[in-house]
Amino acid sequence: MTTRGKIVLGALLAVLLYFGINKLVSSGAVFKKAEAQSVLLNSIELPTATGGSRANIAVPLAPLPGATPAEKGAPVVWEVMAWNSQMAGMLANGGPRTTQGSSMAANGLDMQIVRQDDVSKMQADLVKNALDLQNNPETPGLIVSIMGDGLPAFSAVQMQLQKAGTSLQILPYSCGKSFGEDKLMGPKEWLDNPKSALGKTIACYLRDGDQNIALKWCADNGLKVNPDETTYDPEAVNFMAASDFLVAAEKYIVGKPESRTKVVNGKNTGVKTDVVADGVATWTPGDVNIAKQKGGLVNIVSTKDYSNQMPNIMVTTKRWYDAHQKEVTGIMTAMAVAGDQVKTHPEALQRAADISAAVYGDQDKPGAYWLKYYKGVSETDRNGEVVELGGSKAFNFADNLTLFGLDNGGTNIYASVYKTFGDVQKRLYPKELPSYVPLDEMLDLDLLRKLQTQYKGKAIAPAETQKFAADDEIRQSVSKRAWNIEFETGKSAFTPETQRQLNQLFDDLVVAGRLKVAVHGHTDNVGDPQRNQQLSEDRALAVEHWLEQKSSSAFPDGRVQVYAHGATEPVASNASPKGRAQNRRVEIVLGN
Amino acid sequence: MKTLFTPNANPQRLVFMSMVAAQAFVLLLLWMFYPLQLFPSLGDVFRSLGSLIADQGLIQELWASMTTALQSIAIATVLALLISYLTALPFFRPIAYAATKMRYLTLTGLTFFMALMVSSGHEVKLSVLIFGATVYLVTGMTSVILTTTQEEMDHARTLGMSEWRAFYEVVVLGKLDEMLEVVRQNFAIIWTMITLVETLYQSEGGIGLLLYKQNRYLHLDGVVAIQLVILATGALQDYVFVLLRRVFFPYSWLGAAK
Repeated sequence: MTTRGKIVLGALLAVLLYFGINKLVSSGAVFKKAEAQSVLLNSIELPTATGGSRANIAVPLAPLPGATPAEKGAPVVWEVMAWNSQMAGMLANGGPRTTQGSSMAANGLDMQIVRQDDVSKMQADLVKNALDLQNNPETPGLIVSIMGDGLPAFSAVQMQLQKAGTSLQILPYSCGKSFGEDKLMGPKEWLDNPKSALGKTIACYLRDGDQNIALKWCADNGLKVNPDETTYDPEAVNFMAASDFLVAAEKYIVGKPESRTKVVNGKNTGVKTDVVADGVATWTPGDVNIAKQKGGLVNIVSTKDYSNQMPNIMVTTKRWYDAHQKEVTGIMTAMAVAGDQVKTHPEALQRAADISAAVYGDQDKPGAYWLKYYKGVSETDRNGEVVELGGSKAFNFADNLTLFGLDNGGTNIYASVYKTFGDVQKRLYPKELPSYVPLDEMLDLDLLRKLQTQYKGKAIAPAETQKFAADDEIRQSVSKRAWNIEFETGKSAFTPETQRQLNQLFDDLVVAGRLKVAVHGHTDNVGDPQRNQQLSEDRALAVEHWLEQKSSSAFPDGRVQVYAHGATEPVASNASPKGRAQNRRVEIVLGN
Repeated sequence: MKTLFTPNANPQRLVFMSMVAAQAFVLLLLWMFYPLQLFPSLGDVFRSLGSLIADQGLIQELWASMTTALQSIAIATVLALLISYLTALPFFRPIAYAATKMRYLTLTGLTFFMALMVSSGHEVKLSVLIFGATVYLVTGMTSVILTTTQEEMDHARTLGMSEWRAFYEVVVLGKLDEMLEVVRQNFAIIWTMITLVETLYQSEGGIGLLLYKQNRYLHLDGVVAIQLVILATGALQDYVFVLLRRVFFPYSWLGAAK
């Protein structure tokens, strides 16, 4: 055969092969990829924090830590992201390495704080540390800080740790939380009409805290979400994956379309369609970049609203934790002392910000930068819209009692957060996260209880409480959703099946700690209108009482408001039993 | 048997193949019976491979990546051939020189500018891959052109060819088989970059994205399974290139040492 003949034949073969395989693969005849249905998440509820001592105790300013490394004490490494919730830990340590006169040094520790923004690197380091500790128990322990709602996904490291003969362990103490800086940004119309987000796409770093905010907002508004980042569902909120939170902002700024297959009712239509990022879930400085470079997006919801979603949670290996109870108590004490200082005294906060700058090591971000975004600021974007940027909070000891539910009438807020987001991630990504580690296996509150006993009777600074004025109505609603809370006919008593729904509602509301809750009661049109009006009020009140009884700290006076509508606002026809069932409902509105 | 340890020996095909099989078998045995503490066991990897194929569309994702890879290597080859052949004209030499030096650039940050220049995510993916492959291809191809000897050129000139014709016969046609070899060697670059670009634009899926997701949740068995699939794909691809060369350039092995 001549070369020309070979070329022609070869080209023909290649073309046949290409289209043949293409046809075969796209037909799904060989190993079909499991199709992902869009999911309507149960409303995601987060705890609210309140309670604690009402006494106004002023903590005197302690001497600020020195600058010289102490160079003695039990060695330990603390890996952190560049995250402002760590202010108390920064002050406690006095510098990247424990300094003389710092509270860490006073508690016999020599801590090295290391910046690590990469979560998988953190996981790998923990496994490595577990192995090193196995070979040499004198190895410095490793503690890593992650976002509390991201721990279920992070717990995937458990299997590797078990192979190394140990497991994941949480330090029962948090040094602070995100309070505004993590957020969902979207077009203004999403605020007024959340349903307008259906068929739109949100860019974010998937399967982590930022996406969790968006997922919770969708759940609270009853919007379906499409978990598959390679398809587009016009009847759900879609996600566009970014490799990190800054790239997520960039996707919106650059605005390039990405091509996807359209799905309708979970069925792949084979039609290609282009999607662009309409909204972004990100954190500082991703939000700053959007405001300065393009604008057009406003804050839809943030960790200021979902105020309990993102506590800074420290994890280590059980191997180190069990062998170093004294050191763990020392770290908790040191952070508690520093927490009070940071919260009360501007000098201490300023110093903590300078230490943060030294630890995070960004040349262009001095202490003043971290201080500014710790407090949070309002700035105008390119289009003149006001956007709130940044925002974190440091915790003291009493805040921790509230977080872990050890104060009076308290509920373990963190347990609600963990379960809430663990369930969400598991439901959305069953392939990647078939299960997550139950919190009880990692969290033991003994050390926190011991410290609590130790402090009993002593004057400790109070926890920060959210005050709700009783007659203050919701002015800006964040979400609205009907709950399928069933009552026995004609009564305001819950049916037994409703208990599960209520627990979910409880968990959901606990995450959104700073938001007011309006419970709207509705009935069908059967019976006397006056009686229906009373019944709807009784039902809404029943929900309120149930919540307040379950946790007085999460639902302080004034947080929950009750509205009765009788049969005046049906959502379906009262002619059919199905419609009437839909009309007998309780709607929960969250807002400021 | 003795030939296996003799320098430059050519053992019988059967002997050689059995040796390869034995080596692979020993490796598998080691993996099966002496598992490392954290490295996933052979059984786990196979189970994971099964589930990846059956439930997570490994084959589709592989094909999606494959088409992207082929598309970009095709464009990159044409570009690189053009640039390197043009080095015959002094005017174009600086371009080729610059292109070869661009191997040292890292892609971080560059992707942003590429995104600004083209119109969709798919095009950004392609342009990153094409850029990455082209610079390596140009480097390989220009060095092939530089192997042209004075003798070869003089031979063509003595046959009365014009300078253009001599260039076409000796450099363009004469080196085509070696160019194919350059493409084969550098195709691997595309596969190492594909995870990067597929995680940048995840809408279209791909095996790199699948790998990234497995790693994100520390499913190490899945990670190893996918790496093995990529390895096998690469080996197959190499084989196809060798086959192509044998079919289209049957004489190019004449000079090889026996």
